Amino acid sequence: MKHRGVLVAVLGLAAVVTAYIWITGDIVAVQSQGSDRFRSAVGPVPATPQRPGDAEAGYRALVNEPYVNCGMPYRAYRRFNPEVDPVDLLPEREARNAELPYAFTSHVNADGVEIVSSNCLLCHASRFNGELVVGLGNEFLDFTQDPRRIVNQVGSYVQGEADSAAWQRWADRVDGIAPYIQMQTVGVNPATNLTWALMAHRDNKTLEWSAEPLIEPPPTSPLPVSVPPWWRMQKKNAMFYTTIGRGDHARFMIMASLLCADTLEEVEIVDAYGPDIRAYLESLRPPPYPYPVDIDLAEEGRTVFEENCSRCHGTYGEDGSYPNLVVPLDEIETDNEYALAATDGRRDRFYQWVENSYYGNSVQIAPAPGYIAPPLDGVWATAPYLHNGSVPDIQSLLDSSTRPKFWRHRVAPREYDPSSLGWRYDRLNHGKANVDDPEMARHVYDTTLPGYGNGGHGFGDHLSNYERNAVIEYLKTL
Amino acid sequence: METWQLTAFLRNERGEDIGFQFSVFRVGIVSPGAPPPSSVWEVRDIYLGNVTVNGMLQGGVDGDERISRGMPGVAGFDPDIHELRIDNWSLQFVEDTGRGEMQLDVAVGKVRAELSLTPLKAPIATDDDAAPFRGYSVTRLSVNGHLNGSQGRDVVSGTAWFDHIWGELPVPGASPIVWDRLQLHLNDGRDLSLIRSRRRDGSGAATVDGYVVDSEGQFSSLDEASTELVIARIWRGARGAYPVDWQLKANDLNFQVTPLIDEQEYDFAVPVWNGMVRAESKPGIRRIGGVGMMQLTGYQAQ
Repeated sequence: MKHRGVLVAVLGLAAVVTAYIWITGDIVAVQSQGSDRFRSAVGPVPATPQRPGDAEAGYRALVNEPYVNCGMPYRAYRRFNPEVDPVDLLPEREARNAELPYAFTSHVNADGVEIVSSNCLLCHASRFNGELVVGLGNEFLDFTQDPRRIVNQVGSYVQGEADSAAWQRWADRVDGIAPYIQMQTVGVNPATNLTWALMAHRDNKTLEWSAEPLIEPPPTSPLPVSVPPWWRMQKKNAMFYTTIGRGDHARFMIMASLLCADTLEEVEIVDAYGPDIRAYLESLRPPPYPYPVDIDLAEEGRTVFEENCSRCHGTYGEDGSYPNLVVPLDEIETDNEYALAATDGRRDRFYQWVENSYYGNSVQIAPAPGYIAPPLDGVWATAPYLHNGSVPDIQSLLDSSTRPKFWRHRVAPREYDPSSLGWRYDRLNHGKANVDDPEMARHVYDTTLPGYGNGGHGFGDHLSNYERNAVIEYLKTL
Repeated sequence: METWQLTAFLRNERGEDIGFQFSVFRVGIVSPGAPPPSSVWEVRDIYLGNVTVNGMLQGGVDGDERISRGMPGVAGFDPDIHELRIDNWSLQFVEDTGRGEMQLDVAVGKVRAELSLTPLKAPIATDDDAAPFRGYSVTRLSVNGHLNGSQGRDVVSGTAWFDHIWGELPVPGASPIVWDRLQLHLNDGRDLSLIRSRRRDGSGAATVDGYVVDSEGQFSSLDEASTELVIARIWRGARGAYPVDWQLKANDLNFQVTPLIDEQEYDFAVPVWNGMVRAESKPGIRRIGGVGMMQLTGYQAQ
């Protein structure tokens, strides 16, 4: 009782201090002091020990386990999607999964209803010239539409009480997140905002879902991110563009189950194989560049690269090294909104949610006010570029004067341009606001929108065209 | 599954409006790749037909339902004579003229309808890649013919709407989704089709799939962003409570949609409110009106 008395006294004192600071207008200083634990410095990111895992078991778990355990009842799914394109099938999938497209996983729920849910590969697998590459971010997914549309469409095929209850659980979750995941442009991804929205709707101790947000939800205009390739995980000491994901990477990865997991028990089951999945991701390597390379020019490019790019992006080959460096915003000068939102206090309530949850036991959520310079293995495959996917190819990444202000990917068919290292696109004269056809407007990348800017990373601007082409040739070899 | 649906908005010589709808559903019970049937008795398809008639003709509504196995001359589409039949109801597709004309002959209770239909607009494909079905609609046909009823043989004329869809089709009213479906013929020559989908438990967001075809056949789509639908009145029937009265805004259109009569509930395989409606623009706005059919499913008591 004595201790309790002291505690109350201390809390009382804290309240008085807070009141004093409020009155004196010094609240900003207190907030930053209180949230220091949620920030990292720019510069090198230290390595942290990871839980060991089995890469082969990780692949099997990735493509078979129901870590996202709500979705469409199979009977409705099958009627809504009667046909499967054989090119969408993946090897080593078990039972029903063997006949489902790669981005979907089946399981039977406690009521005996077979459920089909999206899996990680929805965003983390993509085609390159017809070949499905697991780990390559999908830069063509459409998050511009209200996802409740598909919920209603699938719902009209659902019959029976048990199937309806299973569908409703999924529909409720989608209802909860729908306002926070609609993007301005086809291709960019709302994953970060989605994660915050899920936290806003869940009790961080029990993970119980609440139809009404329990803390202030994130903004309804998500900041765009390009999906990075998984094979970077082998070199990176922290996850995500601002290096917010520090500590136990596997536990960050299993946050994917937050869409549906309503209890800690469900999360613990996923967490048990999380380290295997992490090991699998770290075992991934980029595919080889599929077109001819001018070896002599590439060798010249290597010299230019090592003089101009390696300080941040590292060196490659047998003795290669990667510095794990966060570049401060005033140096990188790329669109700062994503890093600012992560580090100016606007998202701290979500960091507190994590800190006091099951996840907080082993992860540190600590973004830096900058962007990490990624390892460039297989970079030729990962267009468009920068954290927000605002620059369509490497050629214009290295020559900022040629970057399109308004542009649109050509998608029918999608075609790769080996000379510029990006998907072919059309340069447009107008931004989204001046495109009348809503269907057309959804495909316009408008770099004047907040968070969609294409400035910065001017580190290639001083190079000659010959040097730039040499660097491009060298990047094909990574 | 496959459906044929013909919806007609008719008027007799006494100026009375009559709504008429003829629908046939085919449900395949073997996979399309199955070997040919060994005899005509082997059941491959079940046919379900229904007809609703409403308006002043009977002072109310009439409806009937037929169920049959698919069998030549009994139920099914006969490609040799271009005829869709279920029992003694038939829809004949006139091939000779190449104009897509049709002849309908059905009897419901005391009513017999013999209607000739001629397309006024080219068919449009239901061309949504995301949907697991395909089909086409002729959104406006002219109708002439006869209705035999309690008051003798009436000459009728008007317009009709024809849909033919096949593939994986949802069964309206059997799912946790409520469907409000509307087809309107507007007097400025535009045709409007709209389906609003909502969750039966009232949660979630309503979504709208629809389109407008103008008098020249130009097509523009409607969705929940371009459509505002406010329920103005609920009518309580024996099987459910239905939103029969709407305030509808769609692009530049703004009108009240009201039923000709409220009692248009049918106790089919799934309960449905299916009836003729009138659209009238609000005073002060450019006067646009029209007639149409509203179909409300999913409102049965839980």
